[in-house]
Amino acid sequence: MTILAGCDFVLEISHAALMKQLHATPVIGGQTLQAPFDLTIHGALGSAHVMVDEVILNINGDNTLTLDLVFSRSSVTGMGQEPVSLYPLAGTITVNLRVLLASDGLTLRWVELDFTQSLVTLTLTPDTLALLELGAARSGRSVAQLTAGLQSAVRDYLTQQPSAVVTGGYVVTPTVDGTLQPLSFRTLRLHCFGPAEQNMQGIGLFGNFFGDTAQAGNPANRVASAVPAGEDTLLALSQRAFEAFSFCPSLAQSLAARMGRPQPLTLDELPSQCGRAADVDVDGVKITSLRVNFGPAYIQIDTDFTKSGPCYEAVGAIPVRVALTLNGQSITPTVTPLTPTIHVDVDFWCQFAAWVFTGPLGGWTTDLVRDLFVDVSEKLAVSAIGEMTNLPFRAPPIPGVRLTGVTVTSQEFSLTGRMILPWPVANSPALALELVSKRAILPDTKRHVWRTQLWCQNQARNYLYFETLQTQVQSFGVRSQLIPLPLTINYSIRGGLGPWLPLVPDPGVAVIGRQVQFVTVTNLQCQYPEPLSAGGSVIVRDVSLEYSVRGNQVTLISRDGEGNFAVDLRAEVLDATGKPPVGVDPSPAIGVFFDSDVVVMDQDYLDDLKECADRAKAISSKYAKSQAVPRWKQAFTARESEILDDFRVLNASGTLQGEDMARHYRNAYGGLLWRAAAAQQSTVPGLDPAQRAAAHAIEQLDKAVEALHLTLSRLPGRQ
Amino acid sequence: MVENVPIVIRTYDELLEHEPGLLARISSVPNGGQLYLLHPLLLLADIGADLAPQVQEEFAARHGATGGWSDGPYRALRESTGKQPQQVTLRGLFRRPS
Repeated sequence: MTILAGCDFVLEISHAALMKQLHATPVIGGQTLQAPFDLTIHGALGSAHVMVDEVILNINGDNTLTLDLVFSRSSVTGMGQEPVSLYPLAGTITVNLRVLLASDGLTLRWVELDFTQSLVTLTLTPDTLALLELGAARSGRSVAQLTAGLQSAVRDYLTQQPSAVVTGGYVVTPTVDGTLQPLSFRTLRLHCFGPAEQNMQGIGLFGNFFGDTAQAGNPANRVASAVPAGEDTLLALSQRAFEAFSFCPSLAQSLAARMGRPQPLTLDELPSQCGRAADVDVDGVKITSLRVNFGPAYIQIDTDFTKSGPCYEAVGAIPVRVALTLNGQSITPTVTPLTPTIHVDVDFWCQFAAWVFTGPLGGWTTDLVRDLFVDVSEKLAVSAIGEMTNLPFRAPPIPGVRLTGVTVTSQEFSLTGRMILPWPVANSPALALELVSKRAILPDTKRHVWRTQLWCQNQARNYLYFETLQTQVQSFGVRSQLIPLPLTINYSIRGGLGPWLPLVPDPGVAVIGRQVQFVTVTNLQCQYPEPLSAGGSVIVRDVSLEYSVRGNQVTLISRDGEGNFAVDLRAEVLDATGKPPVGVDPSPAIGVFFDSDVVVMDQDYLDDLKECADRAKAISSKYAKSQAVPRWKQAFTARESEILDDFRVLNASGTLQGEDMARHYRNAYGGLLWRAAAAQQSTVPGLDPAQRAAAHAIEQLDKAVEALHLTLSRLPGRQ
Repeated sequence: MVENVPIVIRTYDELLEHEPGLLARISSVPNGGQLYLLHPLLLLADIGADLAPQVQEEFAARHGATGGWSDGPYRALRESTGKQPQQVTLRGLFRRPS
């Protein structure tokens, strides 16, 4: 059974979260349920002072709550002819109250705890019953009368308590499709999870957004809360809701920005599955469809495209996988380009045909999806925090919700959160897999000449370049904090999304001689910097790496001639207890890049390239697209950021000059671009609020500078 | 790679004349289209086309590239047994004089 139980949306509050709310909000007699507390109950026969020592809450599957108020050191004072006080009384008041989806009679719904029809029972301890017998004798009433009187007073008192509101309001309009922000639904259902274990109890709100899903799903099939132990709340969306409210709006905006249009694309302009258009032309690439598919721990975006050039026609599909993780309070998308499938019909040999494989498409798509998911993630995080903080009673001092997890399955996207409470947070455990050292050995460098003509030069020139084939040695280790030592680490490696291949620890010191161990990663995409005219090439091949695992560290050694490639390295860690450490990802992974084949172009080439690039950018009618380059590029050094931005502007120019220059950029800065634009693991740091503000300021500054340039260019004598 | 009967080509016009035959030979080579894009002269030599140096130069001049090719990726692809996700169909080989 999935979290959504067939619905489009679910918002869950865990048992622990409800307890926190009840501890922070007046519920009974103006008291919070933070024990100990006391209640004064007036009845027909007298009054009772109830000292509650403990509150036990159980959420039941029939949409009720059971509250056990365990009391002691309490008393009753009779108001008969001869006032009698009885002390100490002890027992349990059990209240069974309804959890309701309340309505204002119009469109607003909210969850509340309804005391009016509560079932109330009073259970007294044997000592208390004995005490009541004494009291009965002195007051002239029977024990049964006294007990019934007490029971009646307590029931009257509790059923007169005002309802407690558990959530904020949600709009439900059966005739109108819902939205995520503000949250509104076609239908909304309440269902409580009531297994015996309290940490699996909770309250769920199941919503449907669309006409054809209005009656879909059956929340009653869910018997236990999906909120992970220790967390408070969970919000989950179906793939369809994710597309409709998050992916497609961001896609419409993102494509419009790349096309230099101020307004998002309409449904008639977007290709399937977001819109109805047969295709959309972006930067010279015709996108015929963009499909979203949820998978286990990832979201896959498949982009179908066609592209033509002076000597070729290409058609293909580029799959990109996005994994989402939390980085502070931001959701960080990690974009992994998968192997594209491209078919090219070529009329005659030309560099542009070869460039289709190595050049803009893979990086372009990765870029597009990455930009898209930065936007998607930021909006989802804001929206989820908004809805989660809409949960508690209005009055209590719960400052908000901290996101604690993001999960994607083939059925749903979900976020978990924890209520922020006003006490300090202790240092938390940490575990990281890190690069310890990296060096090249046995580099073999050869000098070559390439004759080519850059588009802005009058004639072809000979350019020197140096090709180095090298073996690289990289060592990695695990760093930990507040985790019981020693650690037991099992390393493994994989290429692309292939299987994890274990790396066996080196034999003990008793073995004489060096033990060489190899691991072979099959069908790995390897990038070569040549042919230069095509900006390099990509070959799918098997790659063998020598490795050594000693103690905490693993060393990987590439061989020359294998090109440039990336693999994922993973460390599965057990702590001193022999179990995966708690509170951290026990299997951290890292992307490892090998540059076994490196081309360095001579300075003359770089100088000519810069001159042509400046001219290409200046004449490109789409230069304004550079404004769409997101500010996360600031995470790189200023120079790298500049090169990457240039590359993107040139790719995005949609002109042959731009494409030509992009190829040359690939030659000049291949390693950097390969890592940044088409790496196996290309992570975008999430933006925290301060970064967002800084990015906004930079954007405003850019716009001001651009306006200034425009003004200056229009001054007399500046044309 | 299948051993082919050598074709001696001494002028660019001869190269154009042999285009259909060369195209057929390339089509029979696994990943022939992509190999042609990676290193056209090496592939032509591998399928038995013996191009005079001036024909090689004219090929490069007419197609806007000289050098900058390396046999590394060419040999890696030729020896690779993995299925390449990138497929190339050659409809022609040479740019025709306009």
